Amino acid sequence: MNPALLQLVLAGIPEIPRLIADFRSLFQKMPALTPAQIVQNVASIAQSTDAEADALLAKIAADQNPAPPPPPPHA
Amino acid sequence: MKATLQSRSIAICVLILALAGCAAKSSSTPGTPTAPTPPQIQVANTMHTLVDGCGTVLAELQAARQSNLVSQGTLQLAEQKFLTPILLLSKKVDAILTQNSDWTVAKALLVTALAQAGVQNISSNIPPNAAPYVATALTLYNTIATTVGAPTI
Repeated sequence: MNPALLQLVLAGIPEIPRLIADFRSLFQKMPALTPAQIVQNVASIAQSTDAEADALLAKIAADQNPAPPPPPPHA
Repeated sequence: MKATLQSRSIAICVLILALAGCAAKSSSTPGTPTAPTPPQIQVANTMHTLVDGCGTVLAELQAARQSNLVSQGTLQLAEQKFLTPILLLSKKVDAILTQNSDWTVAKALLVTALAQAGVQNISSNIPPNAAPYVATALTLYNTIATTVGAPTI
């Protein structure tokens, strides 16, 4: 075999697994989410975010209007 | 007879090992493409992390207030100028995302919501000693802004 060609072939060997993977990926469908699934996922995340945001806003409101200190006890 | 049995059991063991090897290999095939996370879910997740981050910021600021590291005024200012606008924005973002399944429509509404949230001048509104507490939350806000194509802070 031509040494230059042999060198080329040897250089290409490490690339073989990647080429096979690329080739296979052409024939594999990507499991994408349907619009309904996206809406459902977003709604579920948004619901928990809203609940957390409401709880934090309530805490902040309490900080902004701190309760007055209790009156000193009568002697 | 004994030798045949022994060699047969060795052959069965080899066969089991070979099958187990094949199963392990096929279950973790590298290069199997996975679908990218839709932008709506990315924004919803980042917004959730941002709200989580606001909870941490609030707890840290309150602890700093307790230890007299920041004043009550600084705490209240950070709450008014940063945490409250971000939390109200999160509710608006969630409403947009849940009402608009079309990303193009949602994206345009999100850009407007971010612009109206009043957090663009946040850096100048935050007292300098409160700035380190809100740094992570700012990064998360910028992640959302980048995803929807709005200006970052």
